[in-house]
Parts: sequence; structure tokens; C-alpha cells
Amino acid sequence: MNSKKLIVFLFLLSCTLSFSQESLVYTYDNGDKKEYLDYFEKITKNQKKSVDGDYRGQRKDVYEKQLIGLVNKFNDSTYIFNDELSLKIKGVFDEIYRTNPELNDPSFRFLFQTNVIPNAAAYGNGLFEINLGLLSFFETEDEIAFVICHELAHYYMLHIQKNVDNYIEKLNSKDLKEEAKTIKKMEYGGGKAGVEFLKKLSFELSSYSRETELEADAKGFEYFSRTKYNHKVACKAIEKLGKLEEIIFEYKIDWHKIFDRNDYVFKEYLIEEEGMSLFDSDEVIDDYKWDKDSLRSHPNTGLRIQHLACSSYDESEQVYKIQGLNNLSRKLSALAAIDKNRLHLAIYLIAINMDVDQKEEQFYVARMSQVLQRIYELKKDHKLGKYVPQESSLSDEIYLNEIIRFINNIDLSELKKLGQKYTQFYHDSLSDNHIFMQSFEIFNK
Amino acid sequence: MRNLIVLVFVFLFTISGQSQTKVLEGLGKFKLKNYGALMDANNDVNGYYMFYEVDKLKGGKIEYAIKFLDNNLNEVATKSYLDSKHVILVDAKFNGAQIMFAFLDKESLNYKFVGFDRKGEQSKTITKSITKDDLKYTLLQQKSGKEVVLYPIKNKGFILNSFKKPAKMGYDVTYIPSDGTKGWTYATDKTTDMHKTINVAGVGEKAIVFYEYGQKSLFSKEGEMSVVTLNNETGKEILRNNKETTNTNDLVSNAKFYDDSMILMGEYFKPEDNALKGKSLGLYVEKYDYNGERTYRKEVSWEDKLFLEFNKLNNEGGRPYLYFHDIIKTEDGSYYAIAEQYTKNASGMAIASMAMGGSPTSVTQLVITDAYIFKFDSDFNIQDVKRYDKGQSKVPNVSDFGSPQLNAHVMKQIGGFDYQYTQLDKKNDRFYALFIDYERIKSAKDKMALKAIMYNKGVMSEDKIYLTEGKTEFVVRPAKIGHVLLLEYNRKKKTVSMHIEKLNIQ
Repeated sequence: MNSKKLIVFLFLLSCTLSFSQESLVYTYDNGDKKEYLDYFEKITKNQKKSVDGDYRGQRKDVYEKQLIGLVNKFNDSTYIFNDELSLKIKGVFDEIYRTNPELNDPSFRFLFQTNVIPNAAAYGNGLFEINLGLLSFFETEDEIAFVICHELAHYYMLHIQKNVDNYIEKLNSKDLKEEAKTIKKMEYGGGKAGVEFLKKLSFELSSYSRETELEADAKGFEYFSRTKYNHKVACKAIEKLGKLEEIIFEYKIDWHKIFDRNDYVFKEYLIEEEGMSLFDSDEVIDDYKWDKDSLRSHPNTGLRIQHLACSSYDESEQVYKIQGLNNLSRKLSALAAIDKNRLHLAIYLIAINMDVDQKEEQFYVARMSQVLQRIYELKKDHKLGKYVPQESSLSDEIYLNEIIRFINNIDLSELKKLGQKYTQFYHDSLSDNHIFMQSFEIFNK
Repeated sequence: MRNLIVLVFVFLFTISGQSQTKVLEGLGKFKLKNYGALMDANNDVNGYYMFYEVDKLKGGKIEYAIKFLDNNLNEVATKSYLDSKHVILVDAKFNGAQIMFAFLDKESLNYKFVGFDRKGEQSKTITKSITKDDLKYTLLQQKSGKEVVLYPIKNKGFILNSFKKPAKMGYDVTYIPSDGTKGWTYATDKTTDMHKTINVAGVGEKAIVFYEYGQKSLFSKEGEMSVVTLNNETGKEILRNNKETTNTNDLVSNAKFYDDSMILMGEYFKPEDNALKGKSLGLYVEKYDYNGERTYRKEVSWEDKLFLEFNKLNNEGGRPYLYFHDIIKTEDGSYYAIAEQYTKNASGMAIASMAMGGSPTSVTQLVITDAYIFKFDSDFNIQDVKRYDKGQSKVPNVSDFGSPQLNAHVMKQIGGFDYQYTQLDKKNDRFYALFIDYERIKSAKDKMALKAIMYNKGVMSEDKIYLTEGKTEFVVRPAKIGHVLLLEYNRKKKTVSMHIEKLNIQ
């Protein structure tokens, strides 16, 4: 089967809906919004048709709500379409389907989601999501192939349907209904009993979810093992994802390197930490704390690796690197972040790329000017807080927090000064860049 | 820390989300009873609290949960608290070392002070008994908009100003320590032969200043005005000023406290006049040490040429008055007094209502107009006066009795002025004075706005946030210094969101 048909990142350019940042063209609807909405309807209809057995109405209701969620996501520009990105990972799909032809289904769609957190998802109906964050995190075809195989395994093992069935069955079990009824009738202590009840139900559902994760790892590994890719990478990928919370947002911005231009010197007070908080604690003080580990939807990394029984991976072993994947993914993530005014993420992503992709300095300078302009305009209208959060003293993402502090701390007058000097410095080299010139006009009028 | 979900198929529903089957309806939902900002002595918001009812327990008890957010709206704690079902939360404050909740227990007839230290540990509850009459009087005062108020004293404790009725109507000022030292109470008692009310002018680390007004009868136009200062450590009077001691009757409105001195400001009357019947003669400023020794008093008559500038600027007809909300000392030693202009007149609506058989509590109103900032030098000579236009707002008086100045003091207590509060940013030599402004716009619909008058290292500026935008309405709540919390309600989408916005200093 022609893999071009399988990879349904359509490459049509729409004049009305595409975003063109010099050579980088991307859209949020691939030029045909109706086509995708119709597709979501169709796959949901198929899902609902396949529902059998008891409580059909409730199970169909779950899929109906899923459809509403998908439509909202699509309308909120959550998915991003870009030719170059699709081409970069086309080879991965080609290899998986070449070695596992039974997995090949022309109705499948893998959509890129703008989310910067490394993740992927299967909907159980032929729709899959891959976060840009995953493509910014993994550098090789091998790692990405394992993830895709894992998601395909979820689909072919009918995990989504089974989880829906499990949930609906639990919800309709005589015991559960009796217990809920009893709690609702309680004169005293009903509130906390209700919480314990929900906790127990969540634990059971999470536990079921963790089991299916291990199954998907095993089955996915089976598919993956048939490919040309380095099989040891599977455990390496799981290990990397297990350490995600330590690795993600670990890049420290060199503020002076980015913003000291002409005679402007970046002011350190803009990133100074705030004073006293209410409590002296590194974590939330919670008398009603739930056991987070029991609620995790996936098993811990050690167990997953043990389950797969991979051999240990050596850095010198051959893998298939995808040139420029991380940079491109970060670029698209930055552009999506700007479009949605998630300006703290935009600064983070632009700053990393400015460091590692110096050939494209002009592109990133224009984008940084655009971000500064957006911050200025949103601050002026008192709307910045809708898009950029305040910092969190309990967050481990210290460098992202630093960016958030900068954005929130800087006054309009200081921002104007910074924007002026920054855009004046690059004016000669970027005077034919309309995005840059818009920012230049704002800061220099 | 964000919970990162890795390599998971989409779990399309959550327990409390997607499939809202009847089985789960109502489980795990708690009633929000109260919420508010935790402000310190500088009106800086250090966080927020939400007070929920979790469970009914046997013996008339309730399990409550108090959720705390920091000043950036991040959740930092949820604490369980058990108490009677008869408690109501009257106030909550933060003093740097402890968060204090003051509860009123209507059945046990006491105030309960529940503190949480910086580790989130609940301290031993302190109680303070009241009588049935005290309770009745308190609830009556609350109905008319006057509140029991807690004042934080940095790292040491809190002062509660509440209502008391031993025989006549009175007041109670109680110190509750958070540092293990001894508390005290200063209150009217059965021997007091006058109805007494107070208006707190300021609470500092070492002292509290309030204005006390006493009347033999509630309908009498004769009364006694005193400015009282108590030592916060002992509760003893540092000074009590009245016409005997100063040859004037003073109506103090503001008190500011510094390391070795305190500044009192207000209006002064003739000795034979009082706030109930007389007109004030002008503005006074006094400086005292903490032993009660006055080092300085300056009086500025309304007729003084120093107020000519105000008279030139004011564009309201009739006899306008000024209520001074706050006085701020800046790094260069200057003082800035934040005032709001008002007049008292008859309320046409109230009179019409009375004519039609209605029974309004008063037929007069205060008409509140522009804001003024007076700049004084370190010797309290007026240097400058600036007017900041505001739309007119009319507020019915609680009572027709009394002079406009006294009515204004009562209006201040019930939050009737457009003025909200002032925040001082000592670190950056800034202050922010916030007002609600009902803006009249020519050829367009009137608009409610938050107006900020700001000082930044010698330069004044303004900022404004409109509180309606299309189908969206905003409610403004206090936030950390230089910011406001906007609660955004979209009438069309029926959604509520909140975000913190910085005020723009130009």
C-alpha cells in the first residue's frame, strides 16, 4: 500500500488559512476544515456502530463527547500541518508498514498537536496524535518508531474500547450503585465518603490503564522489532520519557546575549524572584492528598523497562538520526505559541533555537521582535494574564519560571525601551521582513 | 509539579468530567461558603483563601476545608478544619508569620481565632467570649454594612475591632498574639454611660489609632470626640486627645506609623462643635512619638490660601468636602494625601419613595465625585494639588443625622466611597491608589472602570481598566502590589475565568 496515502498530512496550501513565515508554511486546518470535521464525525459514527452489549447508550455517549472534544480542539487550532515536518517522519511510517503490512490502514490519520510536552495518543478509531513536544525531544527515527508502534498496539488491542467498557461496567455495577446510593443518603460524613469513593474508582481505573500500557509496550515492541531500527532504543526511549520532568524546560536563557543591543543592557531585576510566600514549603500542603503514584495512568519506568527486558543500549550503536527534526519542531512550536499568545513558551523555544540554529538568526530575531510586540500590546490592554500565567514557586521548571517573571515584571516603559533598541539594532538586516517591521513600527513610533 | 502523561492512549473521560452519570452526581462536591484575599498591613495581597463546607458531622459539627492560593493564584495548601455548624467567618488576614481566621460562633457566643503558621500547621485556637447582646448588636451592625475587622501586626499578632453592648452600644479592641506573648482587650464596659463608636484610623507595629465618638443618647446632637492611641504590646492608652487637650475637636481619618514616630491626619473642629453638628475648620497633621509626646501639629484652614488650588480645581457646585483616605510618605520625604471629594444633599429618590409610602432609612445622600492628590513637603506645607476626574456616584446615607464629615466617616466604614485601597511599594518608591469610576461618556453608554492613580519616583500617572467589554463583565479584586485580579464573566458563553493583570505605570 502506498504509504503516501497512509500519511494523511495533506499538503494543500490554503491562501486564507496558511501562515507563511518566509519559507516555513503551516496551517491549523490543512486548508480543508470541513474535510477533517467530516472525518471526525465518520470515525465516531463507526465507533458508535461497533458498540455492542449492555449500556449501549452510555458507551455511545462517551464517544459522542469525545467527538465534541475533537471538534473543539480542531477549532481551537490545536493541530498543526506542515509539509516539511511530515516529510521528515514519513520514512518512519514507511518502515513500520513495510515490515508490518497488517498494521497498514488507509483510514488512519496521525495529526501533529501543538502541545510542547512529549506525548502521543490513540483514540481507538484510527485517529492518532503526536505532540510537537515529542518531535522536539526525540532525535531519531528509532525512538519515534517505537512510540508509533506503541500507539498502533493500543489500537489493534482495542484498549480504548476496553477501557470505555470497563469504565461503563464499573459505573453500572450493582455494588458501585449501592455504595453511591448509601453515601448520598448519609446524614453525616457523606462528603468525605464521596471523595473516598471517587478515589477508589479512580485508583481502579488507573490500575487498569497501567496494565494496558504494559500490554501496548509489549505488543508495540513486537511490531518495532521487525523494523530495521535499533531494538535497544525502545527501553532507552521509555527511560528518557521517565526522566522527562528533569529534562524538559532545562535550558537556561542567556538574557544578556539575547537582549543587550546598542546601549541597552538587560536589567537583572526583571528576573528576580518574588518575596515571601504564604508557606515555607516546597510542595503543596494538602490534608486531602491523593496518592499520585496510584493515580498514574502508566506504570513506573523501571517496571516498563523490566517488562520489555531490553538489552542495554550503548551510545555508539547505530541509530537513524533525523536531521533538523528537533529544530523544525521547536520552530513550529514557537510559531504556534506566538499565534496563541503563549508568549513564555515562545521565548523559551526561540531562545533555544537561536542558540543551536544560528544560521537562521534572522528568522528568530524577527520572531522575538514579534513576541516583544505581543507582550507590549497585551500588557497595554490588561489582557496578558489571560495567556501568560504568573510564576509558581512550587514549579520545578525554574527557567520557564524565569521567563514568566520577565514577561510579568517588565513595565511598559522598560519594554518599549528594550523593544526600541532591539529592533533598531536589526533594522538594516531585516527591513524587508514585514513581521519584523511591524514590531519596529510599534516600538519606534 | 505538572503531572506528565507519557505514551498513554487518550482516556476520554474523567471521573468528574465526561460521563456525568447520575451515579456520580453530587459526590465529591463541596459548598463554597466564603473566599477572600489575605492582605497584610500594606494592602499587599499575599494570597487567597476559599472556605468550603466538606461534611456534616455528629454533634452539630462540620468539617470545613480551607484552600489557599498564593498571590499568583497557584494552589499551595488545603487544610481541614473542624468546628461547629454555627460559625461564620468574619475576617482573615496574614501577618507574615501566620494566617489568622476570625470566626464568630453564634451558639457558643464567642470569637474563635484559628491560625496557620508558615508550615501550614494549625495553632491552638484562641477564644474570646461575648454576650447575647454583643451578638445581637454585631449582627445588626453587619446588616448595615459595618464589619468586624482583623488588622495584622507584622510577625506579632492581630487586632480585632468588634462591636460590644455591655449596656450602651460600644466597641471592643482585642489583641491576639501569634508570637506566644500575652493578648489584651480594650473595650467599653457597663460603667460607660455613653454610646460609643470608633473608626480605626490606622494600625502599626507599635500602636493603633482610632477616633472615638460618644453620645449619651442616639438622637442627641451633643457628643464627645476623642482620638485614642493604644500601645499594641500592652493595650494601654498612649494618648487620648480631645478638646481639653488640644483645644480643638479632631476627627482623625488616617494614621501612619514609622520606626520612631506616628503621623495622624484628619479634620479639626471648634472646641464647642463636634462632628455631629459642626463644620470642620480644616485639615490637621500631628506627629507623635510612641510615648505619646507630640512633636508637631500643623493646622491648615479650608480658608487658607494653601487650599486655593483645590478650590480652583474643583468643578462641583455647592460646598464640597474632602475625605482623606490615606497618606503616603515617599522616599524623598514628601507626603501624598489621597482624597475624594463629596457633598451631602437630599436624595430625590428617597424623598419620592417616602411620599409614596415607602420608608427609606434616610433621605440624604453623599455625592462622591473627583479624586485629589495633595502633595506636602516634610513639614506638611502643601506643594501641589492635582485633580483626577471621576464620574459622580451617589450613595444613600446610613442616617440623616450628623455633619457631612461624620456621614463620610460612616460611609468609609461601609465601603461607600469609590476609593478602594492604596498599595505602597517601598522597594520601588511607588504607590497605587485604586478607585472605581462610573465614567459618563458622551454619545455612548456609561462605563464602569477601575481607575488607578500611581506614583513612581516623583511622577504621577494614571491607568484604567474598563469593567465591561461586549458580552464580558469584569469584577476587580485586590492582588499583589501593582496588580489587580480580574474575574471575567462571559454572559454569552457562561464562562468564568480569572487572571492577574499589572497596572501600567507610564
